[in-house]
Amino acid sequence: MADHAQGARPLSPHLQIWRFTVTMAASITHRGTGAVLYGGSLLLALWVLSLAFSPSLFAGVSGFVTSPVGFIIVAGYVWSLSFHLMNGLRHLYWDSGRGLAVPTATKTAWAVYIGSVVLAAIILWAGYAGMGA
Amino acid sequence: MAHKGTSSFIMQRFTAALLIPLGLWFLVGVVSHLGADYDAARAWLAKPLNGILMALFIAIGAWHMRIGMAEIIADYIHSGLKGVLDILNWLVCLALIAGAAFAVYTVTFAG
Repeated sequence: MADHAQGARPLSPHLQIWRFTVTMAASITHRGTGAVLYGGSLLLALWVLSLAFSPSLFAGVSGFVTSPVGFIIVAGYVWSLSFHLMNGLRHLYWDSGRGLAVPTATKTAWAVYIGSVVLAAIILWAGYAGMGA
Repeated sequence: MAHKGTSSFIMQRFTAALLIPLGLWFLVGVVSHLGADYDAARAWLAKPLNGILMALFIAIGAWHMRIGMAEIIADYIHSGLKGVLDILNWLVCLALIAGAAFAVYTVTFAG
């Protein structure tokens, strides 16, 4: 019954017909980084568990994060968390009923992109400089 | 999950607010110990404040993750697979909380 009705109904405009905007990109990135953090948290659990139960696994993890591939994964996780955290602040601000005007939302979207890259760079620089890697 | 919209909405915001300070602590604390040697990293996590914050970050993070992933599943999966993925989502988040709590407990009390 539902299928029959669906066939006759008009579809809402979908991805390919929208003009690209930075607020749209921020929305998509928020969901994308959320999914990345879901996977990354499992790696974090591995790090904490190896710290508790397996010095040899921990040594492997420590070696991996300083390798080029490991660095890319860590950097991706750190930037994802930076972005999701800062854009999350934007969402909480919206929930208060403020910041919703288009020019404001556009400015804050740019601020989150730039700010999250800066924050991630500082965290990674400080973290990796301390390793002597 | 019918009729759970409002409580999910509130819990998503509540956990989000808590995760802002916890996330900043985590970024600074963990990234600086990623390449550390085992004893140094373990001594760091064995400090009560770090153990508590780590357990809170992972537990509250897991709760936040579960709500977010349930939203993604609801948006894209409309087949019978949805129920399976919802249960899997719950199990992953519960396992994450249990694993992290057990690890932090071990590091804190086993010296």
